[in-house]
This record gives sequence, C-alpha cells and structure tokens, in this order.
Amino acid sequence: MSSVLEYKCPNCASDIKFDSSSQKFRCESCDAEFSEQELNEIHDFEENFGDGSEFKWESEKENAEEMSGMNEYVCQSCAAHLAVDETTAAGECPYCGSPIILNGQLSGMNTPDCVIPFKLDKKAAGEALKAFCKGKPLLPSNFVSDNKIKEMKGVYVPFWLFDCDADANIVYDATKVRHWSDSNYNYTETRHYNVYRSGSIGFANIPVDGSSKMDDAYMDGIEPYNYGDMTDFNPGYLLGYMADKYDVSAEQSFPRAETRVETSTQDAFRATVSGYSTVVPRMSNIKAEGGKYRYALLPVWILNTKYNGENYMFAVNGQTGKVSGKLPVDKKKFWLFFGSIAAVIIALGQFFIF
Amino acid sequence: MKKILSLIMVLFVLMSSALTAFANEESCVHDNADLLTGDEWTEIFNECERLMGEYQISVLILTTMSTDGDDIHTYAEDFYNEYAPYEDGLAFVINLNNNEVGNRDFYTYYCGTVYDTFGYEAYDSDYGTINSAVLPYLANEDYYSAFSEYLRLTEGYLSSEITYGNSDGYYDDGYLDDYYSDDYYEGDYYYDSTPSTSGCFIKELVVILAGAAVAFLVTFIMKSKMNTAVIKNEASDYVKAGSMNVTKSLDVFTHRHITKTAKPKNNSSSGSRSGGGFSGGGGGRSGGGGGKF
Repeated sequence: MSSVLEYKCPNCASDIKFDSSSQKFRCESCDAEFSEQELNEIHDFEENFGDGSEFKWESEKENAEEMSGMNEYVCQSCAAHLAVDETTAAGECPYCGSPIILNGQLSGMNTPDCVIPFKLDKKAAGEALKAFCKGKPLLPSNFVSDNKIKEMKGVYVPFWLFDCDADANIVYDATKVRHWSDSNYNYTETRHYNVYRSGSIGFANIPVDGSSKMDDAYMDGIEPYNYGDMTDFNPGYLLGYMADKYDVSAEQSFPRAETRVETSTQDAFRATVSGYSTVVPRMSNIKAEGGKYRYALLPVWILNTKYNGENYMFAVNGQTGKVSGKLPVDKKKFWLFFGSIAAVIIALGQFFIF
Repeated sequence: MKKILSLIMVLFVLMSSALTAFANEESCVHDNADLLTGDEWTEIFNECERLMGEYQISVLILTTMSTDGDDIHTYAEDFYNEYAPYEDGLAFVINLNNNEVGNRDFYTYYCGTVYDTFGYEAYDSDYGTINSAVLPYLANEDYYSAFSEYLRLTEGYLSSEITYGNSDGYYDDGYLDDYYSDDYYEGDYYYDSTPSTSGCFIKELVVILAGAAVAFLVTFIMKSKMNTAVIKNEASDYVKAGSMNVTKSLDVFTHRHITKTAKPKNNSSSGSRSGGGFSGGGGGRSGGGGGKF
C-alpha cells in the first residue's frame, strides 16, 4: 500500500491520496479517482512506455553486387540515369521526353534484390489510361489519343521495400458526453477517461521510391503492387525496358517509411478505442527494431505529354494498371458546368423564395 | 462553345425573370383557405395590383385555416415580410381558425408609412373604421364583399393621405403622439414611399450565393478527381494479415464534469386582439389591429 501512495496522478501528475469514503485513490487537484489495481496497471504501462519513437533498419542483403552488361543513358535535360540492356535502343527520357544519350557501360548501379516483372504491355497500359480519362467531363476533348499512347515508355522504377514489426504504446484522452434536461435547465455531463493501449503490428513491403526524378505522389498513386508476383532479380526481365538508376539511398528513404509505419500503427490502435464521444491521442511511442529493407525494381508505364504548353505526366502500374496523374482542366468546360449548375440552383431557388 | 454558354445564360435570365414575375403575381393574394372563387380571386388580385402600382405600397391579402400556433400579429408580420414587394404597406389576414365561429381572426398588419397613415386603426378602441366596416361581411362569410370593401376604404385613406404628403388628418389630434418620437414627423418623411426591394434583394442574393456555392462545390469535386497523384503517409495496404496484437487495453474513468444552462424562457403570448406594436421589420415602424368574428 505504501508504494501505491507514492504514485502521481496519471491525469495531472499531482499527489494522490486514499479516500476512505470511496475506497479509491483520489487526486486533490483534478478530482480523478483510481482503484489500486488501475494505478498498478498504469504504473506498469508508464514504466514500459519508453522515451520516444525509434526505428532501426538493416539491409536484407549484406553485400550488394554491382550490375553489369548494360548500357547507361543520361538525359541531357533532367539528368536521369537509365540502365538499358545492350540490345535495346533508347531514344527519349521517360520523365521529361528529352533525348537521352549513351553514357557508356553501366557502372555504380547495384543489382536489385528483387523485381516485379511487367504484366501489362503498352496496349493494355494505354487502355488503362483511356479508362482513367473516361467520366472526366472537365477533360479537354481528345486529350489522350492513340498517337500519344504509342509514346508510353516502360520503366523499372527503383524502390526500397521496408518490413518491420512495430511495438506501440499509446495513451488517449477520451470522453463520453450525455445530455438531459428538466423543466428549467439543460444538463451536459462529460465523463473523462484515460485510455491505454499497447501491442504490436507487422508491415511488409512498404514501398518508397528511390528515384529523385519520379515524383513520390505519382508512385504513391499507383500503389499497391501485388507482391505475390515478386521474384529474385534477373537481368532478363529488363529486356525491352529501361531501368532507372536509384539516386535516393535507403537511408534517405527511412523517414518516409517511418512516417507511414507510425501513421498506420496509430490508426490501427485508434480503431480499438470505441464507444467514446471524443478520443484524442495524448502520448504515442512506436518502436521498430530489426526492420529490414531491400532494393526492388517495380514496373511503371510512363507517358509525358503537353497541353497548352504545360507538361503532363501519367504513371500506369505495369502490373495492376492503376493510373496516377494530373489531368488538365478545360477552362471553357469548367465555366460551362459552373454556370449551368449555378443557373439550375438559382432557378429552383425562385420557387422557394416567392 | 461560346454559343452554348450564351444560350444558357439567356435561358437562365429569361427563366429567372419569368419565375420572378410569376411569383410576384401570385404573391399579393394568398387564398389558402379557399374562400374566393376563381373570378373573385382575379378581381381582388387586380385591385390589389392596381393599388400597389398606383401608391407604390404593398397591399396583400391572406386567408388561412390556421396560424400554426403563432399569434395573428406574428403570423401576419411574417407573411408581410416574406411577400411584400415594398417596405411600406399592409396585409389583411383572415384566419378561420379551423372554422370555429366566434373564434375566427381578422387582422391588418401595417408597415412603414402606411402604419403612420392607418396606425390609428390599430389603436381604435373598437376594431378601427375599416375593420369595423368589413366585419358584417365577414360575419356573413361574404369574403369577396369584405375584401372589396376593405380595399375600397383603404384606397379612400390612401388617396387622402399619402398623395397629399403631409401629416394632416389623424395625426393632428395627437392620438398617436405617445407612440411616436418627433423624429418620425419631420417633413414628408413617411410619405416618401420609395419602392423597397431590400427583402427580395437579400433573398435573391442568398439564392445566387447558394447557387454559386453548390456550383463551386460540384466543380471542385469534379476537378479534384482529375488528380490521383497524391502522397500517401500511411501504410494500411502493407499490414501483415493477423499481425496486430493488443497486449494491454485499459480504459480508466477519471472524473466527470456537469454543466447546467438555463432554458430560454418563452415570453410570447397570444390574444384575440393586438395592435400598435413596433417591430424592426424593414427598419421602420409597424403594427396592426384586428379582432374575432
């Protein structure tokens, strides 16, 4: 009992004293009450809480081998470095559409650990892009023509894939609110709770793209890949395609991977807190030790096109056909829709105001 | 494209004008209790229109089976504020009160300069000259005659008061002096009966803004679907199936807090007669009077 009396209030850190009338420990500062069992459990939780979120990553493969037998092309405009097999002719940069020139034999590019081979050919990717453009009334007419689709280029984009098991300790402030009234007054009762959750959750193959030329938003937009098709790397998969040489290291990709792990871990544990009117995280500590990463090439069809003097890029997942990109907006169509909708609403409004 | 846009805009303007005109026509006589025949309604409507056009005031008539729990003054005032094309004017309201003889209401709501002209009607110890004159018709359920007589007498006052543009007549006897401040009597203030479209304008503005807001919302949603390249900061697609394990789940109630707020008091009351009240509608004076039949 004496050890319990040394506890601080988990709610406000003030001193707690035993209240003989309620047979509970009561904080004189915030009036919070706790049973002895609750205080012991909270004490255990706080002991194991830790000092802050922490991640440790290590490569799955200890010694990386340098890839050989490929030519290296360089874009004179955006400085993209592309690996192309010696039998394939390469003409234009998939990222900016500028001509690319042979830089000699490929060097300084490690052999990927794994690859998801292209599953969609150019025609199928073009159909996926056309389907993406359908049902977009603000899109300029004939924006995506067959001629443009012929210019799509198949590129293996470098990715870092992260695996980890995350341990989480999270404290939430939660409330339940109840309303009632009598003949003279309205009442609102707010019941306050401290909610504690601990546990673990595992992640596999979180992708972070390793190319500075490829906008992260485009690659996030074509997720997810089906990793059931992933296989050990074989240079034969690159025949007829380009492979981007990564210029964002695994270490530089750690923060994005950790952000994604933290967000989804918090979301998953938040889903276990139910039945409350409000739930606000007060403290969160997420750790992942022994996380692994590997280097993979994932298939992407890329189309660069121009409209009204501006470049528009589209990425099509070379395995699933999912498309990401920013379509241009036809200003005339935009104002036509805006005016038509406003006119209908205003006309209908006349019936209600008169 | 320009042709289509122009066509839509022209159609919109024509549609709005037509609807507005139609709505205005409909708005001066609301025979919701169905007391008039079609021809009678047309005649009363034409007379109201003529008075409105000639004197630039609102002349409205409303019949209803019930005031939905409101007192007759509030009901008439709300009706006036909703349908009056001019700030100054009157609304003659018949509430059959579910046709309980002796419990049916008649009431006139006056607003602005018309209240200044007819205000004494509201303070008359009886029902007022006009109201008293139409009461026999109402008692006989001859509503067409009641409305005709009402409009005839009303024009009599209008032609002798408003067109003269002075404060002769009912004001000279000091009858209402206790109710008015001197500021209201200077010059021809309350005879400057300019058409007030402020109420309609505000409503129209609200509808236009609502239309623009809905159009903005819809086109914004359409536009947002044009971009699927969006950064992801979560990894829910990559959670290993069955990997989540909650080892501690503790929910501790700490304390509660109760707030108490007094209920707003309802001070409204209803009565068989009301009159002489002031309201803020249209920024001018208003009031009314009536009784039971």
